[in-house]
Amino acid sequence: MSISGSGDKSSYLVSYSYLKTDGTEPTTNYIRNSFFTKYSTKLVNNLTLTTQFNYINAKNHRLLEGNGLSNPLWTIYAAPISWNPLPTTNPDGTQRLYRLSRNNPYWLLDNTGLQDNTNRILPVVNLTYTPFTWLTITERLGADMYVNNTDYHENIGVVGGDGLGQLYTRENQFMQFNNDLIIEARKDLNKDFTIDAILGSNIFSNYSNSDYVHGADLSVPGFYNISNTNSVTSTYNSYLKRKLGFYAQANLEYKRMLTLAVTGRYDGTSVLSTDKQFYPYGSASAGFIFTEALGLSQSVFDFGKVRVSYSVVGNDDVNPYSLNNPYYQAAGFPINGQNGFQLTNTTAFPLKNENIKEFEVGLETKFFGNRLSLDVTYYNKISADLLSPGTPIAPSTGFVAASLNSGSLRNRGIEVVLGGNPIKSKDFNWNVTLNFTKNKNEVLSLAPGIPYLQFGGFVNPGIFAYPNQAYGVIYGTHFLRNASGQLLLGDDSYPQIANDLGPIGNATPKFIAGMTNSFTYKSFVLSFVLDWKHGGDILNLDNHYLFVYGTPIVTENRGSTKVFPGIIQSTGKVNTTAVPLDQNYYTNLLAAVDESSVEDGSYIKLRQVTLGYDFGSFLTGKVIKKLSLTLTGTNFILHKNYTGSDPEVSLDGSGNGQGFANFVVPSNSSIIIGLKATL
Amino acid sequence: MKKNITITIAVFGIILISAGCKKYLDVNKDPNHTTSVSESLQLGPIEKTMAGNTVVGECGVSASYWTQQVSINQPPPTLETYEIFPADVDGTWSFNLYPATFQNLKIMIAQAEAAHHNQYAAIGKTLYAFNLAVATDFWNDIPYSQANDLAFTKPKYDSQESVYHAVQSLLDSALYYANQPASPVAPSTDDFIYGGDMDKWKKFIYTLKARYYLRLTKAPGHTPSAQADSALAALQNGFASNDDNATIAYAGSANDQNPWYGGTLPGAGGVVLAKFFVDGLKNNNDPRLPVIANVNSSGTYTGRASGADPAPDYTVYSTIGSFFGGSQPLNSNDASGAAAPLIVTTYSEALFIKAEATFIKSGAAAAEPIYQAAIASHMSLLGVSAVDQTTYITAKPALTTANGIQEIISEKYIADFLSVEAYNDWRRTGFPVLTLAQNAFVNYIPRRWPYPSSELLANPQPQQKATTADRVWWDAQ
Repeated sequence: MSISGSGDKSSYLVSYSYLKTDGTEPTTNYIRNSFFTKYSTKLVNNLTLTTQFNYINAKNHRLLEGNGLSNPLWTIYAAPISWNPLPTTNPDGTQRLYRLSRNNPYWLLDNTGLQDNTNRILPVVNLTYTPFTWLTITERLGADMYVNNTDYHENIGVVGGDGLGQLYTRENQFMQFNNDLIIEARKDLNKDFTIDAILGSNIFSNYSNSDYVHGADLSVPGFYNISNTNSVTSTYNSYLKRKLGFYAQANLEYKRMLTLAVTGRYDGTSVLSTDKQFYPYGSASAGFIFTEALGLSQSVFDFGKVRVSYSVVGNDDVNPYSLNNPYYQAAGFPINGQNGFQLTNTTAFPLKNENIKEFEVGLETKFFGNRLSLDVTYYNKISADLLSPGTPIAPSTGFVAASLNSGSLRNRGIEVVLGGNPIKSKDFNWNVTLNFTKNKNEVLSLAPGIPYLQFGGFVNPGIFAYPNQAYGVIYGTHFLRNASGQLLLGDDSYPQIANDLGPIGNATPKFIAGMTNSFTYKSFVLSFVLDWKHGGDILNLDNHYLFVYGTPIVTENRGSTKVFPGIIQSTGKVNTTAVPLDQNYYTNLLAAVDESSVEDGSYIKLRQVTLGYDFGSFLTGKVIKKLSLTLTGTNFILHKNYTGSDPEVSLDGSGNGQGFANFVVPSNSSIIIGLKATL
Repeated sequence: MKKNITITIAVFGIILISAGCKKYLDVNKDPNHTTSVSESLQLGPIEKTMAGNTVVGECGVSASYWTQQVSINQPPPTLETYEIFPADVDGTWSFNLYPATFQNLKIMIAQAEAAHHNQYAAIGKTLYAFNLAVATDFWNDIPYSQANDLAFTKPKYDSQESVYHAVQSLLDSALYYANQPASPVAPSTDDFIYGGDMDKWKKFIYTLKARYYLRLTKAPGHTPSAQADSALAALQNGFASNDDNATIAYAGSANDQNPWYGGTLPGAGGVVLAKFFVDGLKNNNDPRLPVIANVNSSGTYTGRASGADPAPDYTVYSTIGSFFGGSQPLNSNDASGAAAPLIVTTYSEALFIKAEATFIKSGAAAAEPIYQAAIASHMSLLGVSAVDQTTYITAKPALTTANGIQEIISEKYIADFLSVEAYNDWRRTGFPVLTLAQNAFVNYIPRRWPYPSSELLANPQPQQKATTADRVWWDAQ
């Protein structure tokens, strides 16, 4: 809901929104209240003040996900469908279990829970001074501040740990300030040349702290307060990072046909080594609208632009305090008043900034009165001196990981966007856009002593970057194969497990494509967005645990016989013997190698489809100025090869380590009906 | 003039701003952690890590499964049926051993040597030797001379023979420091093994030296006689009674529990006693049975056949007694196992080493009284009455030249309940005679561990081709 208004000196906007969603698992939900207000006023003739204030309150009730035993999905995916989980307790009050070491999922709903609440404010104050028509000075100060509280509890009787329950509360405070002072000059030098120059400075500060209190072993069942625990431990951490930036930019335009842009920036940061705290970077780009110069006929080739750019962007993407080796309080300490500390197992090296150098060349064209457009871009991006905080090194050095500038990567590829307006008439309009991206990535080099970078997963299997291999290779245990890739079978005609770890897949897709389509007929609008990802493997870690229980769909072939395609290792002969796929095969072979769980993550999804109707002049009156009704559906999977719920659900959220899924809640499709009224 | 002032102000401003800039950015000192601590704050975590890693952990658990003292009530394949992969041993080596144990010990020892805190130097070197020995016994060739030194990003693996030399050197160096004048900066409550009692540490060092000498009776270039001589010499200054036993103390609270307690809770999957072990104790009317084992849900002592299909409820099997840290599934109010001291090395083991060495040097008759004293010492530790001890011992067959080693090691096997030494002695002597577990993943009992996955990926070495079928250097046939 929003109200806005304006006068000749000022304008305002006030809005409020409310969202409540129930999660896929029972008792989980998300509620958000958001309040936003913006006020802009002319203080004196050429000085404008704009203030903005946003308050968001979000409450999320969830259950554990991932590998922990208190995740209900362990039993939901692993127990047979014929088992009734209700009642959740035996007559003596203990949990009723299918397997002794897996919780009853409904008992977990009643006896565990994670409540996550956030209160956030984002104020921004902006002063704009225009002493001359061609000069604007802006001073902007913005902040992002929130307090996040998480409360987790597990009741007595939980399976996992000593079964006596636990609870923890965590409070995170976060304060970020951003100050920009920008001087912009825009002037027409003469009738052909226009120049636009910017000089600016930025001051940035980011502070957060985390207060964590954990209580083990509840005394009174079902009472979740820190006073009700037998042993309390707590940790407190705070982090401060500051940055400074000085930047300049100049755009030169000739007859609206030729543009040249140059940028430069000099940044200083608190988190890199003292002799490497300040670093420069910049870019140069040019664009040429050649249709203007060639004076081509307007009705066929309307617009053609060629652009080229080269940019270097530096960044300092590491956490504060990454430069030394701290001691941590050892787990379980203090014991009877005796404290204890252990050295970190990640060692710190001197750090300098990362440099991302990108060359890009592109062509933008429009034809037939802007009814057809084609954009093609080629890019070649080298990310050098990659900052990787947790890069694996040989553990026999005394450290499992190192914080250092670890190497360089290259990404190059093309992006093509084809857009069209095939049908354009008074009543009916059809717009369609197709996009296609193909990216090839490669690890160019790694620092000496670094064998690989790990982006996600576990020690094994996991998602890695190896030198001269594509980024995102999945490494894990696999069946024995010869140099040509054929299975080397044992004398019993079954596959054999290799001793080493090897590449078993790659999380990077071959290409990504999409389509946006929109039909307008009078007051109706129908639009949809399709996404297509081709290639990109996922390690379905759920299957790895569930093969033994027979619940994954790939085990439907149980009891049948199979001739494994391969060569008997001892004789060298091609295998022709059929062998049964029995329990022994599933537990000792299939479940014992990671390669069995690697699946193709390709999909075609209907991201969004919307049908809307604008009531327009139908209801014009003094009260309702505009009214529209929309029906929107999101996230429908049209095609997937993945046997899990959704190939986009990942253990690592949206981080670098895609391609890994383990007991996460499936995503949802949704249908939303909306009515929007403007008064 | 105005221009000069303007320029001066500008330059001055820039200098101020740059000085201010540097100062504004000088906020990268970690307020949450310190970068150096005293030895007293390092020792405790090292001992607790060792407890859960090389005394119990994957080491203690795999040894007790493979010698069929303990079993897990889970469907095969499991560790018990010899299924073990590089990923399974990664935690032991890549997190707990080289970083948490060796790296921290290296720093602690260096600090102690530099400051002449002699007791800490002695204890540190003893623990380094102990953990190094466990590691090489499982992995054969391991990094040592180039390990824990960032100058070597890919440390080479030293031969087991040179690692055993290093172990004895470290123990000798520990003895040197233990015999130096005591520093006023002395271990006490931070030492969970002996509370800083250096006399006991010295006896422990000598007992360990004896153990590692006797280990090499079959090693290439060594003879049983020479090893027995060295062992007997060392034992003269070794443990003298059960009071000298090396154990790790536990408070029993949620944050500090005997590792076998957590390892035998229902959530651990049903860890119980194995049939081979329980049947052996029953057949000999061993009075230690009620201390080692708990009765099952039917009130009898029943062990689980190693590798069998799981029973629906693991309480049909006997579980580990609370004396050894076991939890009590049939009596969940009894959490006494959590506070049970964890046994590291006993006087009984010292006596069995002495018995075997005496047998090798002087024959069955000379070994007999020591062998009997060894059994008696273990029974005393478990609280068996003198009368019951005598009944049991007199019922045992006398040692003869033919059965000597078998009888000594078979009794040592019981005294080494839950100790990695039972596995080491089985490999070295072949006793007790074990049959393959059911549903075995491979058709042999493993003679060693595979190398861990993190090392395979980050530090390729030729020794890593080894499989669990390969024997370590001292495990010659």
